[in-house]
Amino acid sequence: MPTIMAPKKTPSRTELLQGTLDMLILRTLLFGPAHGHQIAKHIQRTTDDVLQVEHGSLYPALHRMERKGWLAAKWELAKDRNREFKYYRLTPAGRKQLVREESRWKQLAAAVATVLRPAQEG
Amino acid sequence: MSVRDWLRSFATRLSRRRAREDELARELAAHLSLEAEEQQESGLAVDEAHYAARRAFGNSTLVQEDVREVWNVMWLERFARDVKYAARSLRKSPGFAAVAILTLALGIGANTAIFSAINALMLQPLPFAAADQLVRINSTINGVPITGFAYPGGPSLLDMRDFAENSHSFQKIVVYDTWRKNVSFGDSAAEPEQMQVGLVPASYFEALEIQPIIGRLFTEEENQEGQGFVALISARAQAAQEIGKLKRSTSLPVYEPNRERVIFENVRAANKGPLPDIELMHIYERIIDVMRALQKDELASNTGKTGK
Repeated sequence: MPTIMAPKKTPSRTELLQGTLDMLILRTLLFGPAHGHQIAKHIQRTTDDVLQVEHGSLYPALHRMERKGWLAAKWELAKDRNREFKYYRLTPAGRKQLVREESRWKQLAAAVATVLRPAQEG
Repeated sequence: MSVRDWLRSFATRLSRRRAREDELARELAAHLSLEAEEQQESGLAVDEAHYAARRAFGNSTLVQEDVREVWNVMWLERFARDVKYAARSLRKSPGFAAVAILTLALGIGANTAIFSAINALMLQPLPFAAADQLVRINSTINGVPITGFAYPGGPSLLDMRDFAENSHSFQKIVVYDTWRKNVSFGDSAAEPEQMQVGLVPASYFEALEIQPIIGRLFTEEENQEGQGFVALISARAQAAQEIGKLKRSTSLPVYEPNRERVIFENVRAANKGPLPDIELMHIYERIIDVMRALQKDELASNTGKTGK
């Protein structure tokens, strides 16, 4: 199960809905190929360390998505380091999946927002 | 995907599995080293950074297992898809499906039959004591064994006697013969049946250490010709002795003409040849004479076994 945890610094744990990690990974790879470490760091940094990707979730997710054909992987030499990493990049099927997941997420977020609005007002 | 393609891809998948395991370990190790570098940059010593990275990474064996599980689930899904696809294409061409299923059924059936035969004949030992020491002895004519269809029969009795006398390799040598015979059972209403029956001496059962489920087997003494008759007559004589005692104690006459007439009638009725009635009567008269004398206690004892 992909779970995303808040960093230890903040006391509150943020658990996201199942399938959200897939979307975040796809979105991250939209900017170009990246290896597992970069993907995890990117998600962590862009959310100001609110979302910390657990490695126990990241790698199973990456492999599952590779099998589903959403990602393609290749061992490549890193530019700044003299060693190889397994770089993942989006496939056309992965792009379509990202669009699907984003629209589903927006629907969900909007629905949740509708439920929360009266409570915030009152 | 044809069956051959599927098999090939199955084999490839199996062989690639190892490589994939190595690759995963490499991928996780790379991640771990990057993590350590980062920790070092933030001011930790090399050793400490290494442990910090490990801590941050979590249980890497568990991660590997989770990834492996993903592979397995994917493999199962693909397998289920293949099975579904196969079932669909079989349904689409029922002729081919029928031939394939029939071929499989015949193949499996034939293999099972052949294996049962080989199992019974070659793999399972015979159900006798020391089955591995049992051998069959045949005589030969010009190198061809006298057995089976080519030369029906077996060693002659004289051969058997010579084998038994001159051979020191065998604990026991017994002769047996089998043939088909009509057998009727005690129930007279049942049809006689043709059965494979065997003719064996009493020592046959000793040699194979066979025990009957109920009752007893015949003994070597009973094997001797004539023994049966003697046993029968002796049994009858014993009965006559008892009757004689009874008659004496109740003062009944020993000679009973009416009863003897009934016996003769029964014997005549039971006679189906080849002895003429008159000859059979003579034998019976003699038996009855002897039994009557026994009842009167008139017989001279010279055997030491019966009478006093």
